[in-house]
Amino acid sequence: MAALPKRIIKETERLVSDPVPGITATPSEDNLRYFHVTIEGPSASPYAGGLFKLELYLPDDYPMCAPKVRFLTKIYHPNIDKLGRICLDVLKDNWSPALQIRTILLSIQALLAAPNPDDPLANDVAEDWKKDEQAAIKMAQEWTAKYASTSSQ
Amino acid sequence: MSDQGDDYSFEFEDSDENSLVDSALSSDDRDSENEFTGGASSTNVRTLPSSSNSSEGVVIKNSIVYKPWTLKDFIQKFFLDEAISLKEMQLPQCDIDELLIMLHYKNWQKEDVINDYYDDLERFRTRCGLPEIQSNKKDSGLLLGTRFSCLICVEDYDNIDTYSLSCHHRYCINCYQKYVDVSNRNGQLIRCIQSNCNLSIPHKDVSTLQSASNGHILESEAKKPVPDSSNKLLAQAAKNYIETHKNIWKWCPAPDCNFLTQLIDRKYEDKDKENPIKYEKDLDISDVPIVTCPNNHQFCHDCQYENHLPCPCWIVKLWIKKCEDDSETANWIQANTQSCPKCGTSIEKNGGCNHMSCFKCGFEFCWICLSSWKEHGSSYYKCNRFNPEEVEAVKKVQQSRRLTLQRYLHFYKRFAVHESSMEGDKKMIEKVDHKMNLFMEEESKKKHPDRNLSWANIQFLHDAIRSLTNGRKTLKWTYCFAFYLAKSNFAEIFEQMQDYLNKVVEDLSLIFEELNNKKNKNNSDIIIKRKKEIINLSDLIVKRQNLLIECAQSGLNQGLLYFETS
Ligand SMILES: [Zn+2]
Ligand SMILES: [Zn+2]
Ligand SMILES: [Zn+2]
Ligand SMILES: [Zn+2]
Ligand SMILES: [Zn+2]
Ligand SMILES: [Zn+2]
Ligand SMILES: [Zn+2]
Repeated sequence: MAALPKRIIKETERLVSDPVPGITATPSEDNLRYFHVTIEGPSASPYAGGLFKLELYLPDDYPMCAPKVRFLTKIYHPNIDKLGRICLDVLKDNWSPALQIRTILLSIQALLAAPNPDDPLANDVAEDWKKDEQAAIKMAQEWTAKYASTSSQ
Repeated sequence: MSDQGDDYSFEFEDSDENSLVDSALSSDDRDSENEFTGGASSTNVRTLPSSSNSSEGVVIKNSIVYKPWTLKDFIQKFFLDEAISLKEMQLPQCDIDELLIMLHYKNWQKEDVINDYYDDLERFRTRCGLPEIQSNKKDSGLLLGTRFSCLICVEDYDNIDTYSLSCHHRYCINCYQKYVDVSNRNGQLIRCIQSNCNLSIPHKDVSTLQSASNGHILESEAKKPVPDSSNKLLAQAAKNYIETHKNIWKWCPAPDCNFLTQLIDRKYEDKDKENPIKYEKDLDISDVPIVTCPNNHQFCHDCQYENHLPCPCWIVKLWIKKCEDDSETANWIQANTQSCPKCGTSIEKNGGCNHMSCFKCGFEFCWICLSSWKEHGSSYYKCNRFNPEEVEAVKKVQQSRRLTLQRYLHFYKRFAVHESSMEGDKKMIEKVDHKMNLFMEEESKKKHPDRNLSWANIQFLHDAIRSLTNGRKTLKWTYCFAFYLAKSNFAEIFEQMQDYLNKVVEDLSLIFEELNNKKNKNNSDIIIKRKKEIINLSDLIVKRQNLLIECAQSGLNQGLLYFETS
């Protein structure tokens, strides 16, 4: 295995020594490019009280290519599909090597606080969201309690 | 569980990227793509500008008017020359780098650039990623060999080249080189590394950045005033363009061939054929758009498949579909070993020739039908036929489904064997060629070399192998043709022409095999001795091949031949 680039080492050090509030990112012991991530649901969002697990992988071309990120915990969100894939511009064509793992995780946290049903990945969820926002929010809360509650983990 | 997730979770990314590329195309491009039915004419297809002005290199053949291109010529003509013409005519106030970025952004449509430019210049420049006209270009561009701390790779360098656009987002050349390499893959304009900075890197600079190694750019690359046709971003953009204009542009399908052809016009005697529904089952094979690339590879511009005459395109599609569906059953046939029909010894086929002899018992037999070679050779080459008597016998003992499969296998086997024979021929010719080269070298070392012998003297070998390969290709497709052909008197005439072609193809293949198999050193003498015979046979192949195709063409046109494709 090729040596880990200095950039990744620096980013990892800072993620551990100076963590973002509400977010943890721990590199896997056997693969330092693979991170176990948790994000707390933002308060005042339907995901409040939930703790969401994600996986994050830095491809060989990182930071020239975006990290690969996916939700492992089931979540009811118009921009996150059944497989946990996330529709977020900075993970796709708006990625820049000047962005970092922590900026990406912050963007994901912001996406939980402000779902965007007009740019959906999970079309059926987005439909529900647009048709009846109150019902959709209630559903998101139920899923959070069912799949992401800290007491059940 | 993390290991598992690692494997499968990200496999969808590729398709996402594709759709991104797709959505970046203008709707005009999509329209012209939808028009493709094989009957598209230049009047209703939006093509690259000025492509029809130049008649140089244009080939008119049967129903098709086309022009072969190299990728470099394509880039020169449709990208670089377009920028130069904008500079000379409509937009002299812009420089070439800016014009290339504008053209790239507007998918190389010059008219669109002019329209957007005069519509709202500031907005257009912003979208293209060009700096404001007044912006200060001081301190931007390349800086050679300075002390620098890069925020992307977080390294501190004592002596490194760095780069920035007029936005002054400066990073080290190592990072820029990697960034440009990765970004070049999708063929879109490459923007500044900084997030949310939209500025586009000029094509010329892309080449310069790509030339970097160990912290320094190649200065000869940086000195080039304008990008040239070897620019990798332009090459990738050209590939995208060709990929999204498949109705007009086709890559030659031959392996390792980098030529492409541009469809300029399709002409039909019968106007009715522009009707796509009628065209769908067209029987006029003179309409099949066979084009030839500068490397002499013939292919069908509609199917982007090798020359498949005498089959019309729709029969080829049916056949390929059928072969895919039945490949499981047919797989065993392609195996390259067969056991001797007499003693059962396993025999490997090594050349293109189908005349086999068992090294154990000496039995001579035909690779395809496994019957004794003597029976074959007598009156004419019988092996093509699906013997109806045999069919009758089979019919009695087996069900009709099995018969259908057998009928298919009969033709498929012959189709496939010519395909693998082509490979065999190729290998054999390489060996003969090698021996010839050795001989020529020895000859030239002699004090009194044979003056009658020159490299030009063995050119005929290459011509012969091309006839042999093309002959086999036609033969191969006659089995697809014959599979769908309804029984008729004329069909028998067609089969006879098929026999004739098969005979000369095998005869020529046999000579090559003999040349190759003889253990004695005087192979080259034999080649010279048999030169006339080889030339005659290769001429005969071309003649019989043309006759066969003409026979199929007139038979289909007159309704004497017809297909059964239930
Ligand atoms: Zn750097
Ligand atoms: Zn910038
Ligand atoms: Zn070619
Ligand atoms: Zn075709
Ligand atoms: Zn034998
Ligand atoms: Zn033989
Ligand atoms: Zn035979």
